[in-house]
Amino acid sequence: MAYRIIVSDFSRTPGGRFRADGPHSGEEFREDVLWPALRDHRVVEVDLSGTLGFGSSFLEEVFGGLVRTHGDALSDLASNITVVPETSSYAHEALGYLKAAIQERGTSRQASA
Amino acid sequence: MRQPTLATKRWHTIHATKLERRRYRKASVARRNEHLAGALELYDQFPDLIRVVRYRHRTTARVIFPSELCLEDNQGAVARVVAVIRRSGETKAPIYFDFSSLQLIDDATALVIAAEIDRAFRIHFGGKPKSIWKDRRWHPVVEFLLGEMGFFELLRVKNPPAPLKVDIPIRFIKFLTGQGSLGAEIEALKERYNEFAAQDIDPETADERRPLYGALIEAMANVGHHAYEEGTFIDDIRNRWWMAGSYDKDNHRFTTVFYDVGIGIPRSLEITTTAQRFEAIKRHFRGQFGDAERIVAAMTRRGTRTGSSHRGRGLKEMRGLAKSRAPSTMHVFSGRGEYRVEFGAPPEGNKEVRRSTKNHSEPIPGTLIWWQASL
Repeated sequence: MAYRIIVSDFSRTPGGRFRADGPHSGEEFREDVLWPALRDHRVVEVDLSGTLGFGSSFLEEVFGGLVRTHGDALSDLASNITVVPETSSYAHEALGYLKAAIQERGTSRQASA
Repeated sequence: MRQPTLATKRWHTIHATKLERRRYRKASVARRNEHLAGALELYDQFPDLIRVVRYRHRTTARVIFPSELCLEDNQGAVARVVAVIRRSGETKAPIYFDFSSLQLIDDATALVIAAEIDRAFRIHFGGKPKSIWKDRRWHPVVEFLLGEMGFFELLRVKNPPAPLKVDIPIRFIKFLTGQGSLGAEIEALKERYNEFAAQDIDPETADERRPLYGALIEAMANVGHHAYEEGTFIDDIRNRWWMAGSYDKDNHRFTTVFYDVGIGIPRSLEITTTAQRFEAIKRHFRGQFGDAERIVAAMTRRGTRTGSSHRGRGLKEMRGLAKSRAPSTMHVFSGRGEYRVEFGAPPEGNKEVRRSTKNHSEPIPGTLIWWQASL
């Protein structure tokens, strides 16, 4: 059973990419909400509905940044995270960032090997 | 030691008073000369916009605004006015902004002027100017526009005019300013729109996106990451942005304007891109590589500043607001460059119908993004 995280509980007005950008940043959400949930529950569902919208920086830093900062600790990130609502293009975008970061990580590991 | 006599004490008091008066007069004369020198310097640089007025030993540099200030039609005039505002803050001369000749101004220009004056106040007076008084002789529509946008509150005018009752279908959104990516301010902007619009200004699109929120939060993030060079701006100015807009209830159209007083997209691209990458971008434009082309490079992700593949989507998202609310136009003014893209409504199906760039002779410092869109 996936642990459910509702982004609008974190903030109705998600911010920019980094904590230095201002309140409710992607980095803040990833480090303070998403990563602890993944660490404790392994499988997480992220619900993006209920906010006033998202910037691409926020989504990329949450999902792409998750792989860049914690990819070693949790190997199968792509299958451990679902993003809803599935009809939302934000969900597709978020999963796209996740997959792109995993691919880039795989490519850079091959290059360094 | 002998005590001074009454006469001696009296002499010293009178002498000290005379010395003080002499020092004050000398300082007054020096100050008046400084004011005159400052005003004349301004006049030398901007003879079309400055009048030097002397009255009873006092010199004022009077900034006479042109009769029309519209960015779309006359970027040069707006750029000159911005240059005067910036320069006037740096001189010692008292400044009188004469708006009485101004008959037409659009919301983008109004925001730029308000932001530049706010910037000057924050730099030179710590945000608290001494006293500003409003002259009575303003064109009523200009007074209405600037009043609705919060211009008089911003300048802490001592005698703000009473709200005018002007029957025009276009209402102007009071501007907001902040530092950093502040989603709550976007919510506040939407609430201001909703006072005039009978519907949500940022409804969900068919694919459940909120394009206005996305564009503005990315614009704010871009200001923080790219617009201000480290160590060159005071804390109160660094990462600061200003935004405002208007709503046309008859035609269901709205505008949103976003401005920062940073180094501008062309300069940001130049200083933060590696030499090799910069040359590659220049070669792509085959010789014509002015400020407008640099804006295009930034808009089309050819100029990703950090070089990281996961960054640099912000400008694309800003373009996405215009695309999703077609028919629409998006303008970017930065430095001498102007970038304009138009999107058509069905049957073109939210497609880009026109794109143009232009390099002007006078620069707009900072970056202005101006969306004119439909609901």
